[in-house]
Amino acid sequence: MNLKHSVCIIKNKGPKIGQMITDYTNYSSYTNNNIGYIKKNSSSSSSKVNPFQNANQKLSDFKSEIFKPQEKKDISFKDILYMTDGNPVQKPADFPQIPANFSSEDEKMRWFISIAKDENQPEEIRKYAAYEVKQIYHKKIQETNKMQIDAMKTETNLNNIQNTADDFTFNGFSDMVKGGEYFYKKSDNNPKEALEALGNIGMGFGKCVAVAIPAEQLLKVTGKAGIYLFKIIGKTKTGKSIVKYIGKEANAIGNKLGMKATQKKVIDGASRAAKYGKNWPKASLKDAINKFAPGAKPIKTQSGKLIYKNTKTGTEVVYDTKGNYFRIKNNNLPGKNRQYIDMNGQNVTNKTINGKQMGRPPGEYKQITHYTNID
Amino acid sequence: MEEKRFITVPLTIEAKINFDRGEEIEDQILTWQLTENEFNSLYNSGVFTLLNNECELMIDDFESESIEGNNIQVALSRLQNWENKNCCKEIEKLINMVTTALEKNTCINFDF
Repeated sequence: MNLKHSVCIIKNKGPKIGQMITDYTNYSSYTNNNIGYIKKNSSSSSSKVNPFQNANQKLSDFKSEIFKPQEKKDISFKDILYMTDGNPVQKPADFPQIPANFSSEDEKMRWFISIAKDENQPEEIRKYAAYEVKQIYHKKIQETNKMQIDAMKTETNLNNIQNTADDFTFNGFSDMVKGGEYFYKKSDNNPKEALEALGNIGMGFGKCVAVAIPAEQLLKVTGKAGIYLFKIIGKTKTGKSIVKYIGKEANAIGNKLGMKATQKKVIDGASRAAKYGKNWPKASLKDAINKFAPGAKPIKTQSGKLIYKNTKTGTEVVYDTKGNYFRIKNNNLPGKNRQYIDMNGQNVTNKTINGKQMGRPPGEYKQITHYTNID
Repeated sequence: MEEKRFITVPLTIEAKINFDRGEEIEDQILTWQLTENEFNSLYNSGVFTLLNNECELMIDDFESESIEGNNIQVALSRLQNWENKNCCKEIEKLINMVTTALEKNTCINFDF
């Protein structure tokens, strides 16, 4: 299978958000610096060699070396990194003189580690040494990540990653479903189209979606490749899914690839009605129009609402077509946040409790000035 | 008759409480009554979509919404770093109002 990219949706059984995917017949995953990668296991084809392997191996060697405890009672390398929060620490005046003949950054770091571990040293000396350890370690990690990315940036590797991701998306998830119902969607043009395709699929609330984004696109944007999870958080009246991207990584990709249009769909009358509509009173739109703006021709706003305006009274009925609800606005009313009235034409800014008049809280005011249309 | 659309910032906690009850004392509320053009500039800039996505809000025409609490800092940060912030002069005015809301520890209201 060699798709440009693909989308696989699990209807009955999907991975939990954030779940590490590790158990597939032909695939395995591994993480590095909190980035998840997927690779194909042993393969007769030389083109299926994991492109990260060399760079990752070097990182493993590096870690095993520096994490290796010298004695059982020693504090670990991890403990040293936690000795400082990473913010700059001033070098103490009596800090031991740094040897000038380090042959490598690793050797230099091991020297700082020895200082940080030395319980005979004053606290501020150990803390500064730990800070230096952390600086060198992070620099090393960055260099190693860059090696990985550079290793990926060859045509063969890009194709390899792409094939693996595509195969994983289809085969891996269809295996996981094991006969259950799932939806598989592919598109051959660009990732934006593939992701937007999610918005045209009616799906159940809370279901998970796995998206394999083309490796080349990912490299351009983030220098990383992988599988990213999205979650269906709602459904419009017309059956379109409302998709939320899970995690900063996915957000960054979505923004870079021009996903704003899809995100914009999340906030409309349908999502408002889905969230609050169950508490709104019900009324007839036709009755409201006949009462407050008889004979008015609707004017469509850029947000998709229809306005039935009574030019004589300044009252208007605002109908949200996507959410199938309406409000009645009286522009003559004073106040900046209390322009809406009820079906009786009453200003509902205040309410009376035990004979005492008091202002309605915003939530309650909004609730009683939205009407679900029953026509 | 032109639509009444307001963006407001209560200048004290007391003013915020009163405003939430529908009571206003003019000199305690920073008020921007938007013209049709100003509203259209903001709407078409995509700033409401930005704030809705970043702060999980539902700002929209003919609706009311508020940015409060920690969301004010989030909104200000995103607006200041927004690549589209120079698209129209209304964005700068909006940023100033969000800044005031943060300084006064109140909120910013969108009543459209």
